[in-house]
Amino acid sequence: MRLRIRGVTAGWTAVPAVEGVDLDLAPGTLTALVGPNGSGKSTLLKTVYRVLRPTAGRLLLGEDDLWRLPHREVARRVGVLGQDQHGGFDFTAEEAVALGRSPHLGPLGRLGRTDREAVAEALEATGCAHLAGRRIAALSGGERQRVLLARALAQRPRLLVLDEPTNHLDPRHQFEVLDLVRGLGITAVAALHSLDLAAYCADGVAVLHRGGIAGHGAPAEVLTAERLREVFALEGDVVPDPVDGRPRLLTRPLRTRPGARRAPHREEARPS
Amino acid sequence: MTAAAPGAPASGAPARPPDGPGGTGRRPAVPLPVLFAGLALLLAGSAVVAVGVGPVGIGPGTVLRILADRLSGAGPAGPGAGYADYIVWELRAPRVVQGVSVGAGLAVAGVVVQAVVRNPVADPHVLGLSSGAAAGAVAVTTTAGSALLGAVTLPAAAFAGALAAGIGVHAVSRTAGTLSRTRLILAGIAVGQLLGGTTSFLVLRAESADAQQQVLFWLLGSLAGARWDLALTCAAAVTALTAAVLAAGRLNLLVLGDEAASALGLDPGRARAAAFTAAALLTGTVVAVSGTIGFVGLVVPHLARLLVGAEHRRAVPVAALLGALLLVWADTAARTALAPAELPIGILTAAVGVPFFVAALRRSNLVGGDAP
Repeated sequence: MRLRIRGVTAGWTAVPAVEGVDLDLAPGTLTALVGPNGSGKSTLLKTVYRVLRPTAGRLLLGEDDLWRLPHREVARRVGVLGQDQHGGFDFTAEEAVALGRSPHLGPLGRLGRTDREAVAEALEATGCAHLAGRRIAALSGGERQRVLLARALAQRPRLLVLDEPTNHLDPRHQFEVLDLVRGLGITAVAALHSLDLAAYCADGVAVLHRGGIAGHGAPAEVLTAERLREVFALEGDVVPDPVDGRPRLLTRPLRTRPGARRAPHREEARPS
Repeated sequence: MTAAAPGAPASGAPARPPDGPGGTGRRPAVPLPVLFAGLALLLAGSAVVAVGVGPVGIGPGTVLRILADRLSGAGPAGPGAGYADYIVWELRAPRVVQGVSVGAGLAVAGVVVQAVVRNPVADPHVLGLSSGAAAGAVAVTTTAGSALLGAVTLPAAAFAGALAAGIGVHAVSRTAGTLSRTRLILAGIAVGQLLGGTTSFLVLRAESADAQQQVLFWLLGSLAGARWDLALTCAAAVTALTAAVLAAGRLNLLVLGDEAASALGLDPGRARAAAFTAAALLTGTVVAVSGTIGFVGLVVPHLARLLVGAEHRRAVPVAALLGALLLVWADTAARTALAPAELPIGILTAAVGVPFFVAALRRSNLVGGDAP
């Protein structure tokens, strides 16, 4: 389902972290949201999954304003995968995934047939079926993140929001989680730190810079040398992967040759 | 934070990351109905045996016959039955029933509090709720306030005290929007000490003849004052509140943290307030009839989770049964260990609970692991 972000302004303090953001996410695609630290990636995503109310603007999922729907109704349509975290409370993988059905359950909270099917499907789609009876704490980071993705899928969402889903994952599982999401055919947006990962794994890339969208489109069109220099203070080129032809981003630090022109905004843009 | 170990094993590969303290990744395969039935039977058996234990020993067969006679409405049967009947029905049975409801109530309150603050080293006692309840109760018994609301005065005052203590501890430990686990425990202990002192002061100032007994009762708990009316009221309240906690079913989402809970359709602030109120009500109900009995709410939820995992639909009833079991036996020990003198029951639960508390503290990452 299409997500249209229209003029969204939001922040935790009086100074908004994102201002007047317009962004359209095409149905069924995975969009990578990239930007230097403090560019507002997380803030923008939190307005989508209703943690932070925007001070201006609208977020339309299909025809519905996400901030005008009841809270539970949003939870039925928007699934969230955050950074890897689990407290001292140890669920089995299957119990954790079943919690994804919470917004769909009646007042007594019993799982019906549809719910159990949704849980089984989600475990299947993420390749977690064999983990069902295992305790979350006993899983590896990659397995745990797949289980949490399964929890979001069990919501049967029309939009997936992934807030730095690849933190704490080794490279292999970073590719794995994002490829898995892209293959689902659900509209998805993922805040990512790695530009190469964004170029390689996402259908589209949106660049956030100083709280505004500095570019949105196919990876090769958006991650231009000029934009990389301006936003990330990096030299870089998008090249086709020699094996599978998907876009790769090669980056290197900005060279400051004697007499070379200083890149604009270099002081503010701290690459992570 | 748990970073994936470098070279983490491939999914589905035989190599697995080392398990946590629990050993295997899977749960022990005792079917749930079997576990419930087993615990319920064990509790019923314990109750019958405990009723028979005391200065006058009464065999389980006699106990069962007396209970059957009483419950069927036949009344005391046969000549000479009067004495045993009196001991069983008037003295010990209400005490055991009260032990069952107090133990279950404390254990369920423990599960709820741990979920609310997302900290497995918390319980109503550690967080000062029990002390607040005792201070509230004493504040009305030692003043003219006791006639205010009739029979519910004491539990109501205890509830208000628990609620106030909990809110106070929460306010002290919350800074800049984050709840520090370490600060929460420290604040709870400090507030608990302060309120315990307040309770002692209020009792001693009232200059009643049995002031020292009363201080012991409020600070370390006892079931010696058990009566049928108190025991049954307490049982009904604990049952209703446990049912309410189970029906609300939000503890599973609360322990995930605010953002995850919100993403799954829960309003975490409201759910936390409701759950916390339930915990304060449970604590107030229990403390009003039994004083402050520590560590039940800390130890029992851990044991329940070891048996059936963190899923609260299972952990709550299992904790209730285990808490009841623990208290029935602790009370039996309390009234027989130094007979004819009675030990405050809190001494026994502390003897079990403190080593456990220390072990849990050492295992948890309290220093580094602050909850958001």
